Amino acid sequence: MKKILFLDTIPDKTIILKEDEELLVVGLITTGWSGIRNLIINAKGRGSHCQCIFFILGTDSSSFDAKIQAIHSAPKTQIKARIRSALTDKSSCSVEGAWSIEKNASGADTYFSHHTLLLSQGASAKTAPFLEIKTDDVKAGHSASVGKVDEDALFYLLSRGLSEQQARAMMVQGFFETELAAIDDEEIKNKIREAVTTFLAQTKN
Amino acid sequence: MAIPQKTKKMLTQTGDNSAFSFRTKTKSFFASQKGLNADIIREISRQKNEPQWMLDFRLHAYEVFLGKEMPRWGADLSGIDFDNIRYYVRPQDKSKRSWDDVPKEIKDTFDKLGIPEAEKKFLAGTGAQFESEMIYHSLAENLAKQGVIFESTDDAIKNHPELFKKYFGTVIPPGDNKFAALNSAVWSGGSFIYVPKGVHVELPLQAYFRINTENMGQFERTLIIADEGSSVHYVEGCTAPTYSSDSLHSAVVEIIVKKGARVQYTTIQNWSGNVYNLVTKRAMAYENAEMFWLDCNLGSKVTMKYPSIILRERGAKGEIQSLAFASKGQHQDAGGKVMHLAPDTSSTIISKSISKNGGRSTYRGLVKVIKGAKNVKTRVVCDALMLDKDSRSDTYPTMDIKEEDVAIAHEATVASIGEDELFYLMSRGLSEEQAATLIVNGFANPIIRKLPMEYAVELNRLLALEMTGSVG
Repeated sequence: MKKILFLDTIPDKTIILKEDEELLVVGLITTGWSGIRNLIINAKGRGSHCQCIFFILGTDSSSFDAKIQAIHSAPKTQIKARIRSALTDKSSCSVEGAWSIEKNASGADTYFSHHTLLLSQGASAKTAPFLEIKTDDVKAGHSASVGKVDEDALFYLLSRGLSEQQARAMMVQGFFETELAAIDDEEIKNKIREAVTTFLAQTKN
Repeated sequence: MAIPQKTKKMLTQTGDNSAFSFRTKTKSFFASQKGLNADIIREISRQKNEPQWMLDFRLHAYEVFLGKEMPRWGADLSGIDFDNIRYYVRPQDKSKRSWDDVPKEIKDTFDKLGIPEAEKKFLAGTGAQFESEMIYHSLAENLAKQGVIFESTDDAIKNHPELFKKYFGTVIPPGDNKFAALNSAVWSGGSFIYVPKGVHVELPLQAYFRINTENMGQFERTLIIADEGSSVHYVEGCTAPTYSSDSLHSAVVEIIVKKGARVQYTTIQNWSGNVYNLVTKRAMAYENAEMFWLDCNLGSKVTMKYPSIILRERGAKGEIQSLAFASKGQHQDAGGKVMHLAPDTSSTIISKSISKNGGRSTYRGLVKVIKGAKNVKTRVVCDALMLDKDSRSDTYPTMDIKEEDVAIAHEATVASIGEDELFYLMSRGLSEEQAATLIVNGFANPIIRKLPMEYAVELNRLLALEMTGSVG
């Protein structure tokens, strides 16, 4: 039975996964913090799976500074994290993903991604997806990107009759929507969509 | 589908390891005692007949070196014993232009490496680094006519003092890091290149490096200045003989790429398994300039090398492509750094690493975009291939973005050789070793393809050599 953990922040916390445990962590994060948060996920149990999906919506001068450590310390474990952050005003987001696959963790499957949309001059992002792999029978990948709303796509939407505001909103929604597919819980999905709408309403001017 | 003839040929060229690990007896005219102090630095400077400002520069750098701590990150450097290194050796008194004047035993060493015949035809000038000093320097006449300067760094300080003093130490000051400071204090040899405005050097310039005295460090210093609208391609290649105790190689390479100029710097290294290779390489690119580092690292005990590009003015472009092969007992800690300091700058970093027999390869990179550097585009790709379960592969990329109007992308993959791929190739009649070699070559090919043809052949041969006996 898959457990779901629904959070409103990246917590200072150590999560230890038992044998065959399946965990989905969803974070809808709109309030920043000072200092660095440390989240550790240790897949100690054989065959345990953990998936983390974090949505970060930054306004004002809030700062989201976190280190996420994922440790594969048993065979056939899976730890995947996907982070999407949209930042306006002077907000900043810095995530260090420290992924390690220990020697005994053959068959490990790991993935880390952090994509950031910078929506205003003054917003900034730092991303450091680190990967340490000590055995060969693994699947590992990471990806990261930082950028603004794609001008070509925006132009396309404008040419279809949308106002610039509508078009931008649609693209930010689309940016987050891609990760919603992995969440089964409709209630959580709707909460995230609502939060994105509120966020867009705040930032429209 | 038959295996292409070329591939077959490559697979059979596994060669013989001993060809790359021989040593030649040489007579050194002057060798400093082991260890380092201010007197040795004065002696080096005196031997070289240097101007006072260079001696002051060296002594200042020595102070900086003493004051700096060893890096606490990256590879294990605890095996370096600074007191057990000879900081200066010089095989003969003057560097020679004609091949006939080069001493016989030194020539023999080069012949074993296959340098003169093959490279002479292809390359315009040859600077051969043998025991800390350029001993052989030839420059095609038409280049000299165009005003291109290609000399050993030691000669350049005498022949072109103003040009030298204007740029030396400006891209990498001694205070940059401990090993840059060490190099600044004891540097010897290396290449100095100046390409005047609008001159395009058609053929790659090349220098071959060798370490040949036991416990002798190589501290060469290379300075390349490409003036406005010019272009040059410099190739450095290394094959070191195997020795019993550790050697330290700590070079500094500074490149200045002026407005609209282009510089490509290609490295192929195959240090023996006891060499610490700690190199600082950095280029400064001005308006619409283009800098390209192509870096292939095989061998050595520890390599720490992160070619960097500072994109300082509008429209500058940077590219770093690297290939690392870490075998038993080796740690290749390589990568690249790009600083975007101006608008409309772009960069690409592509890194491929292979780890085998417990080797460890690391990608360590940084992309930094400062505020106001608008319309910056950068792409980072790092791929790792692991050949067995004892090996290790690490990726440490950092992206620090302070500007909104940018497009930054990064991706990385790690893979092992798949059973399916091996099975398919073996069913076509290849042995397991041949199949694995073919896969490794295919993985490395996008980088190797960028090399000048003869180097590509040499690197393919070295890769095949590395793969010999790796399976079963």
